[in-house]
Amino acid sequence: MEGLFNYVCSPDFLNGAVSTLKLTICAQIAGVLCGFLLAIFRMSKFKIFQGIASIYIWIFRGIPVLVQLIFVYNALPQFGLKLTSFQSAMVALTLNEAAYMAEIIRSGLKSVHPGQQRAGYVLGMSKLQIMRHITLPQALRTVVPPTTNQFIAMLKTSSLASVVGYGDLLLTAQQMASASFDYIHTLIAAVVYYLFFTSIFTIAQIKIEHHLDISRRFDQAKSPSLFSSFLRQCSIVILGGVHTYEGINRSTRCK
Amino acid sequence: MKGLIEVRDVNKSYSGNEILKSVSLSVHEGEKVVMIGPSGSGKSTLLRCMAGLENVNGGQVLYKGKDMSSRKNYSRTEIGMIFQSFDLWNHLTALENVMLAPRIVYKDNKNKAKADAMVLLDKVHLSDRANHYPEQLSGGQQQRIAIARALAMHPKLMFFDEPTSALDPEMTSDVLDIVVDLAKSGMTIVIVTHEMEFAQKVGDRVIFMDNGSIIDDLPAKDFSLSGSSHPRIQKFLRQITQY
Repeated sequence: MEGLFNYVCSPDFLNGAVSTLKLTICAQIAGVLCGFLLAIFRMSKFKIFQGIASIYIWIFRGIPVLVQLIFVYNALPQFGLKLTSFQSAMVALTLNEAAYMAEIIRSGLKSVHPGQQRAGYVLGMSKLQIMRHITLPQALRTVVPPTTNQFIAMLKTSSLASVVGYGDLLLTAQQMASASFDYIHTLIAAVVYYLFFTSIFTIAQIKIEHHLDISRRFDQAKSPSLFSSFLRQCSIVILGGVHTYEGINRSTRCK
Repeated sequence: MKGLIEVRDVNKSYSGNEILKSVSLSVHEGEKVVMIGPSGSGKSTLLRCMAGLENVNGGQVLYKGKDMSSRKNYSRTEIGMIFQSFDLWNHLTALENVMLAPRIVYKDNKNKAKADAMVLLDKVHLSDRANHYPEQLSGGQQQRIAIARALAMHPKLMFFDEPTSALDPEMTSDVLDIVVDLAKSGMTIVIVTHEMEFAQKVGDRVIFMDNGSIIDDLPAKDFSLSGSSHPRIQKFLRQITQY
């Protein structure tokens, strides 16, 4: 037990945790932004933009992330583009994530009734103002739960970056183990961090959903306690985690 | 005398279906025009063309003498429009619904927008519901908030597309009372409705449409079984007063 505690608190693992968190957050944010752009493309009235987005989603949702990652790290240098392991992981994870986020965001934007936008138009608002003040705030309610799912999946998928030598939690655990042959404690130390981060994301999701859910704002009695929401979300994460590791069967909850 | 809004030989069709067949109409400033007709007669489509929400396939719609097919020729905010489905923004309170457009289109500061919105909510007798969300309000209340929201832009004319068709009779009269107040204040109004008594009470003119054309255009007081001689109108009035 003391060995585990020492590993968890060691500077190596703290560094690994920071690296994992950095990659997860950067790739997820970039993925959401690119996904938003793709969603707009897919909903465009111009066939050419629809086509570009559809082909993109077909390619990047169809190829395993690990293949994309190794391609970026090992194959691109042959075309003269040499990326560090962090850059490679960023590119591969972002490109892949964008394909999933595009579908999530598109379903969110489509869930807003057209009458809502029409009401903005007749009052003289521009397309951009309608998007910013009417469509996006309402789409968020649909988009937040599956996006948090993606975020947690990203935390786990980021461990693939260890394959190209990125010093994340998994690589740290493996390196420590190869020095001490203590696989049990080093891997559990990594697990402790993963579960800790997942818990924080889950609590954040509940808070955000609560904030966006208008019916709960005026009906506090109906809202379940933070603890019971947390348990419910954990069960989803743990059960869903089996399928989401490779990032292929990720649930994109479409409403 | 030139109309505030003029429709000249307008044609409109959706995927080959002719909805409007060479329709012409002129509405003067301060006039209250009621459009009546059976379902599918094209009255809502005509209203949407006049509001600049649809492009016409032939002919012209002129606002203050300028072609509305170019968005540069008129300001969207001069034309208020009320729909059957209210379309209040679900994520905002009643007050925020009224405040939003003046805030971002006119760049009003928060205090001014709020004060103006409260005056308008009071006008539609709903100042006590300012902090309620749309889903907490009845249909009639939502429609009255929608009217307040449209008035916040200080429109020159107001279009109503069957504003009470989704409401029960009690709520209907609440909404129509507001429209009557608005009419008395001198606002130019074009309204599509099935409320006959209201049409006669508020309207200066009644336009009767059938099958994509204006069949009759007559003073509201003459729009009755005894007043109108047109056989199609006679049949329509007999049918809706049958029960």
